[in-house]
Amino acid sequence: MVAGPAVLPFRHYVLKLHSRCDLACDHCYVYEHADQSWRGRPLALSEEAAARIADRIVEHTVRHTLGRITVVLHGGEPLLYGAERTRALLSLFRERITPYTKLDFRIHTNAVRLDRDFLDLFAEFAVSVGVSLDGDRSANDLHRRYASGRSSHSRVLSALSLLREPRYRHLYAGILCTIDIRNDPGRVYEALAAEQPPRADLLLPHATWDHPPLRGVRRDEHGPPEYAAWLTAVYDRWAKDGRPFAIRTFDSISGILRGRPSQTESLGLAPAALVVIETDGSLEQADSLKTAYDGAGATGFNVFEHSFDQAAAHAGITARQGGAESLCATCRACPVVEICGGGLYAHRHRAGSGFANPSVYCEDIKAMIEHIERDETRRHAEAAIAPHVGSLRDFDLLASGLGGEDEVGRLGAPQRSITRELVKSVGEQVPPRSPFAAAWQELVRLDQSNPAQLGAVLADPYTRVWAVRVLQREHEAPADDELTRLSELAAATALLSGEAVRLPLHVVDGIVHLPTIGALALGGPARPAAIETRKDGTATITADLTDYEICLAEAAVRADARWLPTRSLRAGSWSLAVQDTDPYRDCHQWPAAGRLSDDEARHWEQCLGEAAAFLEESMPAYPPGLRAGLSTLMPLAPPPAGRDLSATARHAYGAVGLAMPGDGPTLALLLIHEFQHIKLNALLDMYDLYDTNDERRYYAPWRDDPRPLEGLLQGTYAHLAVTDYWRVRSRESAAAQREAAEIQFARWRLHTAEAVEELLRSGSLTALGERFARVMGDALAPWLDEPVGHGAAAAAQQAVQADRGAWQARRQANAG
Amino acid sequence: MPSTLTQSGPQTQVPDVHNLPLGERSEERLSATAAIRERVLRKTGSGVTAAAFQSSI
Repeated sequence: MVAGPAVLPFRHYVLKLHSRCDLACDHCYVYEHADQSWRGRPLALSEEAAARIADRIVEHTVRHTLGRITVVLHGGEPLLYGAERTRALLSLFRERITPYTKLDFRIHTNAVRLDRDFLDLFAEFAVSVGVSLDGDRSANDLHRRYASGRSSHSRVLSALSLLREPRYRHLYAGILCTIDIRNDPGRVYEALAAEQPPRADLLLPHATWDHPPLRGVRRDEHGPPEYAAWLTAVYDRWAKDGRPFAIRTFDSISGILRGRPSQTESLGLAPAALVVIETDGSLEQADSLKTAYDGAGATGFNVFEHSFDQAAAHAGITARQGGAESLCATCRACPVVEICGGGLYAHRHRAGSGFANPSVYCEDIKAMIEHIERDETRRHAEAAIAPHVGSLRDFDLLASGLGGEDEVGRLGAPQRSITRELVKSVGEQVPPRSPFAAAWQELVRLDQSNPAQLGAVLADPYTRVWAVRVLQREHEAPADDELTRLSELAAATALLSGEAVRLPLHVVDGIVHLPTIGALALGGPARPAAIETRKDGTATITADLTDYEICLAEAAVRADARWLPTRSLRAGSWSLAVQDTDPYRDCHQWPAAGRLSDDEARHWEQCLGEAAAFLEESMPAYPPGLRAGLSTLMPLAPPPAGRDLSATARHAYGAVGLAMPGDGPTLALLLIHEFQHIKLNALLDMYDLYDTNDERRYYAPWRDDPRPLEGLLQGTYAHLAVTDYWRVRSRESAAAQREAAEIQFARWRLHTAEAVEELLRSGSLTALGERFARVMGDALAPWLDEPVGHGAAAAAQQAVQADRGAWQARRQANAG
Repeated sequence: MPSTLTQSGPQTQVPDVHNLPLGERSEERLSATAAIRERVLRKTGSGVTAAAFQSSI
C-alpha cells in the first residue's frame, strides 16, 4: 500500500509572494483576465502564512513520503517581496522542510529588479531563476511594458546578462516567452537564442472559447492554422540550428512520442500535481484558470484551516488527474490525444459546458504535433541507428526470476553499446591540447585493428562507472587523473594485441590500473607517469624516473609487492575475475576491501566451489545464467560479525560486491540475490519499466525505511530468488535446520507476494513494468500453495505481521 | 499512456552500436551516442505520474 491516503500528493507548490506587479503587461492572466481575485488579496505573504505553509508542506510530505518537492516563488512579481523577506522565507522553508524531503526552489520573475543582491541570495539558497521575455525589443514591447508605457526590455536583458555570468550561470533556469502571432517567429527565436538560455518555452496566450485568441493576422487558406504556423516556423528554425537549447513544448512533444514524460502541464495526459498558494494563504488550482472566469481557480481551502490533502481531494484538482478518461468525447477520439492531453486545462473553457471541450487552440496544437511527428519520423528514418531488439520471451523468462545462458547472454550486447558510447563521449571531450588526446586517438586506432581485444577490455564492469563519473559533471572538463583511464584502456588493449604504443599516464590512488590485466601499486600522490607497450607483449611503466617492467605472459602469475595481477576464481565451469585494485571499484553500497592476500583468494575460491556445487545440484536453473552474466567479484570490507554483506552497483554490469560469507550455501544465496539486481539493471537500461517521476516511498518488507519505486522493484525481484532459495533449502536441510528454512521460505513468499501487489498498486509501472510484475507474481503463485509445517507457517505469519506493524509504527511516529 | 510505449516490449531504448567503430562521427552516430548518454545519465520515466507547472521554467 502506498504510504499516504489515496489522493495524488502535491509535489509542486506555487507560492505567491506578492500579489502586485511592477509591470502592466496587457496579456497577464493575473490582472487582465476574468479572475479579479487579486484585488482582495494582501499585497504580500505574511510571516504567519509562510510559517503555516511550511508546516503544511511538511505534514503533506511526511504523510506521502515524498522524496523531493519543488517550491516555485511566483507572483504578481515575486521580487517585490524584497530581498530581506525572501531570505527569511527561504531560511524558514529550508529549516523546516529539508529535514523531511529534498527541496528545490525556483523563482519566476519579470527580472526588471533582478540584481546582484538577489542573485547572491538565490545562489546561497540554490534558487533557479526563470525569466519572462517575449522576444526582441519590438516583440517584448508589444505587451511587457510599465504602466507608464515605458519598455522593460533593456532592464530584462541586463538581468539576463547577469544571469549568464559564471558565478550565477548555474541558477539560470530559462526564459518563458508568450507568443503573439503579430511578431515575426524568426526574430523572436533569434532574440531568445541570443540570451543563451539553457531552456525556453513558447506559451500560447491564455484564451478560452468565450474569449478566443487573436486570429486573422497571418491567414493562409492553404497553410496550417496561424498559431501552428508560427510555432512550426520556430520549430523548423530551431531544428535546423541543431536544437541549441531546450524548448519545452517541442521537447515534450518529441519526448511523449518516444514514451517519455511531458515537461509541461499544457501537454500530455499526466495528472496535475501542483497547488497554488495565494498571499492570503488560500489554496488554488493552477493559476492559468484565472483566464476562464472569476474565481475559477478557487478551492475554498486555505493553509490555516485545511491540509494539502483536503485540497488534493478537491473536485477541480482531481478533474485534472483522470487522464484521457476525463477529457471530452472529441478529445478521446482524437489520434493525438496522448500527446496533447487536451491542451492546457484553462484553454478548454466555454460557458455552459465548462472544461469539457477541446482546447480553443485544438487545431493549432494538432497541426503542430503532426508537423513535429512528421519531422521526427523523417529524421529517424534518415539518421537513426536501430536500437537493440529484445524479445518478450527473453523478457518473460528473466521476469520469472531466471534466464539461462542465451537469455542472459543477450543482455550483454546493449551493455556493450552503452559502455562503448560512454567511453566515446569521454574520449570526444578530451581537450585537443591534453596529453591524453593521444590516448583517445590510440583507442580509436586499436578499435579498428584489434576490436576483439578492445571489446574484452571494455567489458570490465568498472569502465562504465568511470565514464559515468566523468560525464556526470557536465560543465567541467575531465581532469588528468580521470583521463588516464583512456591510456589504461588503450595500453591494456595494446598489450593483449601485441601492439606497440607509448602513452601518458597519471597515477591515481597510488595505482596504475590496466583493466582486465592488473595494477601497478606505486603509492604516493597523484602524478604523471608513462607506459610503453611492445609487440612482444611486454611493457614498461615509467614513474618517478623508475622503469617497471610487465610481461603479459607472466603478468597473471608473477605477482610481487608492486605488480598486482587481476586474479580469477575458478570452480569447475565457473570463473570469476577478482577486482580488488581498480580505483573505480568502490562504488557499491559498502566499502571495498583492499587487495586480497593469496590465502584469502584461495578461501574465496573454495567458497565459490561450494556455492557452485550447491547451485548446480539443488538449483540447476540458476547456474547457466550466472555463468553467462556474472563476471566479477569485488571483495567488500569485512562486516561486523554475524552479518553477510553483498551489493551490486547500478553501472557495474556483471560485478557483485561481497564480503566473505561463512559457507558455500550462504555465498550461493548472496550470488543469486545480487545476480537478480544485475539482470534487472540491464533490463532497466533497455526498457522503461516505471515512472521515475514517482517520488513516493513504498513499504518494502525487507527494509526499515520506505523505498522509492525502483528500490521496491529491485528488492522484489531479488527476493523472488531468495524465496526460491529457502524453498529449496526447506526441502533439503537436515531435520534440525528444516524448520528454520521453512520459516524463511514461508516468510519471504508472503513478503514477496505483498511487494508484487504493492508494485501493481502503485499506478506508476509502465505497461512493460506491469508485465514484469505480473510475471514475477505468476512465478511466485505456485510457491504460495506449497505446504509448510504448521509451526513454520505460524512463525512466518507472525514475522510478516511484526514487520508490517513496525513499519506502520515508524510511519505514524514520523507523521506525528 | 503513449502507444509507442505499450508496443515497445521487444524494442529497447539502446541504439545498437556495439559493433560500430569507436571513432565514427556521422550524424546518426552522434545522435546514438547522445541518446545513450542521456538514457544513462538522465534517466527519465514514462510520464505515468508526471506533472509540471507551465508558468515557470
